[in-house]
Amino acid sequence: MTSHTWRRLLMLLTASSLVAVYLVWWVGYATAHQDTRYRALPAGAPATVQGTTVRLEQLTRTARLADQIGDRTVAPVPGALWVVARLQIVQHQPGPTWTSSFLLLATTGATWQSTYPPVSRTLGAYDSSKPAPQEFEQVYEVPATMASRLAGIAIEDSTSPARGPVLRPPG
Amino acid sequence: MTLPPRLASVLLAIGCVAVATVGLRSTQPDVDARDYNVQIVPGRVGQAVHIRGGELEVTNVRFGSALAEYGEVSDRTAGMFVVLTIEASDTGTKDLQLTDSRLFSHEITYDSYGFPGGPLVNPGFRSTLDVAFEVDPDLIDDLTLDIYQSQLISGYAQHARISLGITAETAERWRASGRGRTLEVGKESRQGIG
Repeated sequence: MTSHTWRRLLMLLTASSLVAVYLVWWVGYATAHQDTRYRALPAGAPATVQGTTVRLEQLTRTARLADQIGDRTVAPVPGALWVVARLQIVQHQPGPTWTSSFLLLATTGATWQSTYPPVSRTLGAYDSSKPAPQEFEQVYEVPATMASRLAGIAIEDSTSPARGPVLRPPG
Repeated sequence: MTLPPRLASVLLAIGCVAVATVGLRSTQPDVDARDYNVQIVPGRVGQAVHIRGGELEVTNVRFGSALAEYGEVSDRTAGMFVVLTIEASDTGTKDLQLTDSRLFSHEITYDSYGFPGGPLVNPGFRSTLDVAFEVDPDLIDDLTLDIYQSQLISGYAQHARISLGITAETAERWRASGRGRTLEVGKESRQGIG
């Protein structure tokens, strides 16, 4: 073969290798980022997302959710329990648009959205119009089998590709 | 006469694409247009199928001419209603969402009557709900439930395809079971998986 033919073969090989490297990188990146990723914080440590600092003060499991104005209690659906997260907005950046959500995260990777409590509670849900510091409560209904496998409250920030912080109650 | 090399290359490339297309099509000779790019998970009434990290089962099939909610008739039809009781268990870590469904009878497709068309279950829970369809009583043999989650962008969606077990021989018996009957629907129940 002439040197010209060798050069063309080398070019083809180089281009094929570059395409192969790109495909391998892209498949690896897409697989790693397919699911939302989280990073656990030390117990009691706050997290700052979109300029707002949040702390988990308490994470309580209970078989019956108490009405804090009346005197009744409400059971979850069969085979489930209530989990109540008491959180505090420590600091707001001036004029933030808070677009994060607080998910209850299990060590298995399962997550649950908060539910509207079926009873009256003293602390309400997060209110963006209130100034910091602000205490609020999130109520979750989870399978009873997950009671011992709760990791904490994950903050999902749709505006950032970074791992979502997982708040853990103070030890 | 010889073709210029560049033209020959283009013709060869077109030929390769044509052969690949024919090859792809010929490996799927019986694929219906509605099954294109879909993985079918077949099943029948009373049998749980595994789909999207969970389980789904049609536990009951009822025919009637009216629907009722909380004891009050909400809808009547000149045709016939089919109400399927669907039980779904989420054994995975993500929500099991199968809220789109339709019934097939040969070439006829019936969309679900009302919303949702199927369950949305959170991890670790089991949900039971009724899904209604309005059908032509004369076209119910070989009725098959197609239940799935429609996505804006989907690579290869999974559809559960549950045969209701109605044949041309048994269709009249099913029709008779629904004449003048009111079907109670609408009470979804949930429970944690033990």
